[in-house]
Amino acid sequence: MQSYEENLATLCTVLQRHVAAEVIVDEDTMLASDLGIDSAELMEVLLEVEDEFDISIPLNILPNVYTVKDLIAEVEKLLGTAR
Amino acid sequence: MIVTATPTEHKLKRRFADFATLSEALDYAAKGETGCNFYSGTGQLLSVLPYAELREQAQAIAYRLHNIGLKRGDRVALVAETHPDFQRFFFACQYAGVVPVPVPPPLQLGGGHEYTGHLRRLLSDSQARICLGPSEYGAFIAEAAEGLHLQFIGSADAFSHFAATPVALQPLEAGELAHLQYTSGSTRFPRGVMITQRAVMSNLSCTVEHLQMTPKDRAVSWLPFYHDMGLVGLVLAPVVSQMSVDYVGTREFAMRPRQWLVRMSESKATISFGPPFGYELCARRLRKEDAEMLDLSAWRVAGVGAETIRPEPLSRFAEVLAPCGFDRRAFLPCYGLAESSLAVSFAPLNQGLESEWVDAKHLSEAQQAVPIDNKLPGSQPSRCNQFVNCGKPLPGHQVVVRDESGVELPERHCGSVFVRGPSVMSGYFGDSAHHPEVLSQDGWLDTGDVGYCVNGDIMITGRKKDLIIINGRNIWPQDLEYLAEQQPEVRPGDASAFSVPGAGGHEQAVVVIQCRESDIEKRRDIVKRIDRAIHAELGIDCIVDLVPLHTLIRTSSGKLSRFRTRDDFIDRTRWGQSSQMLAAG
Repeated sequence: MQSYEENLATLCTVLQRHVAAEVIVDEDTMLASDLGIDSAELMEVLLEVEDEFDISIPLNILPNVYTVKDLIAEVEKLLGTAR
Repeated sequence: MIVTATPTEHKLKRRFADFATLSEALDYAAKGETGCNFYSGTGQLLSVLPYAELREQAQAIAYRLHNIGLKRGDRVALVAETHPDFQRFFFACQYAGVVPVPVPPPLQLGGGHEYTGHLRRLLSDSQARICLGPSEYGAFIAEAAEGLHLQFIGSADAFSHFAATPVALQPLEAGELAHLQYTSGSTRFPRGVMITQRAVMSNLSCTVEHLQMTPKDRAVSWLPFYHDMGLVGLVLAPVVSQMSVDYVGTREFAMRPRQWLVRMSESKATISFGPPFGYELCARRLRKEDAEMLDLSAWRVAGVGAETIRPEPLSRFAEVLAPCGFDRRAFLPCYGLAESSLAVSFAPLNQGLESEWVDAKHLSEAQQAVPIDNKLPGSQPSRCNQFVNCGKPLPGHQVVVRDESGVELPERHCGSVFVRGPSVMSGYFGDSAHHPEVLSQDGWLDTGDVGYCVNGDIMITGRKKDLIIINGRNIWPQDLEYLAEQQPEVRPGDASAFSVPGAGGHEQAVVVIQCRESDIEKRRDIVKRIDRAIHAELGIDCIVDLVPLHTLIRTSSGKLSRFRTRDDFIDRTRWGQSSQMLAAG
């Protein structure tokens, strides 16, 4: 089972692939605004998150997901590793 | 039990939209075997809703709507997810004599809070008595409806607890509303477009006739049900022509655009529509090995509309998918707006995209579209504009182009596009009802679009209204300005929003803000806050440009001129001159 820190690192790696090098992604990064990518690309990112963690993200949770931390919480719920 | 999708062909004799009302159309469709099918983002068949079942279930809900005491013509807001419950409740309203109001579900990542504000404005403007939506959005709906005294809010499941004691139903009649369409207007100042049964049936029968529908047709759609193209074009048109249709959710499409093509291929579907960005997204995300597995040879109508049509991305789509049997002649450009039910004009069928190049200088200076043969040597592409032919107005509809003083212009002269005909709305609902400048007494609708005619065909060149369209969505500058003005450092009237041509010909939103703050850190913080607010509420990238006081340009009457502020922005930043455009946000 992956630890929170490991999951965070994995997620940040996925996100970092889509953003400019100077944008530093951490757990407080706002997904919709701090990454500098539009909503269409954001959906592509989510697809990669699904593949990376081998989960299926129910898209109706999105309105309540603001930060990287929020997304990890959802990922962990889906993985059954929520603390 | 193995669930199978509804068939494409069946024994019932096809009737093509020759019904007086939507309920009458469903009564007939229910005699056959066709219906709607809902697929997951990974291609799993989730639910099947034959029209026969839809009618039965809609009538049971109609009894409940009647029994809880709704009055004729009351509005019922439906949070429109791509789910069979939408069809059930939409048609229940038709049978019960009440008016469905499709409203969007929350779509933006992290946009929950902004969404409730938007939904609240829609509920309040439409004076909805009921708001129904998926249970997972229960908290948003409850917050949005707080204090509005709705009779019921909640999920379809919760609603099913009301008694369904049969009563004699009196469905909506031809002269009554079919639905209230809220795609028009801004999220801050929504406008409910009133569409009667007669108007929508007229639009549907013209559309079905133009598409030369046959009993072998089948449609696929990922378009949202609350949008006029998704609703009228891909929910109602299938019902009035007894055609089976396969749905993929809008967000599922955004995540896995290839699913559109997979569905087309597996269903051997013949008809689908989308905004240009949908085709572009698909082509961009397609992998080579996907293309090898697809068979798109049955696809005969690939409708394109809802935003300005640029030919290149569509050509790319056709090129990438030609090996799968996609025929570029399937492209069907169309022009329309919610205020005219959906469609105003279609290009001829099986013709594909037809466009022309016109002299850009002449167009902007003399408002005349002088064609240029782009194959001639020496013609500079930067001095030309390319426009796609959107075809002739629907039968029974008229389109004219007028100048600013209302005088009708000859062909190839650019001006405001006006439409008159049976599909045009009866007006806006409620507070926004009085808009004589939009709909004249003699029935002419000012579309807000600018264009010209050639041999009676419509060419759209731009917009008179300051509307910004990004990824097929209407973004109103007022909304961007409002969000900027919510910051304590920004005074009302100190923000001006517009769009400029961005990378790849897309529109790039810009908001220019006059600001007294001189501290660099504080300025950066203001920009960040506004950027976040725009992302949360509208989900778009917007350039936030802080400028000194007195930079925004006002008209002689003191009103902000977005148009001139835009020109100033382009000059000031040398927009588009360097190869690298300013980074958004």
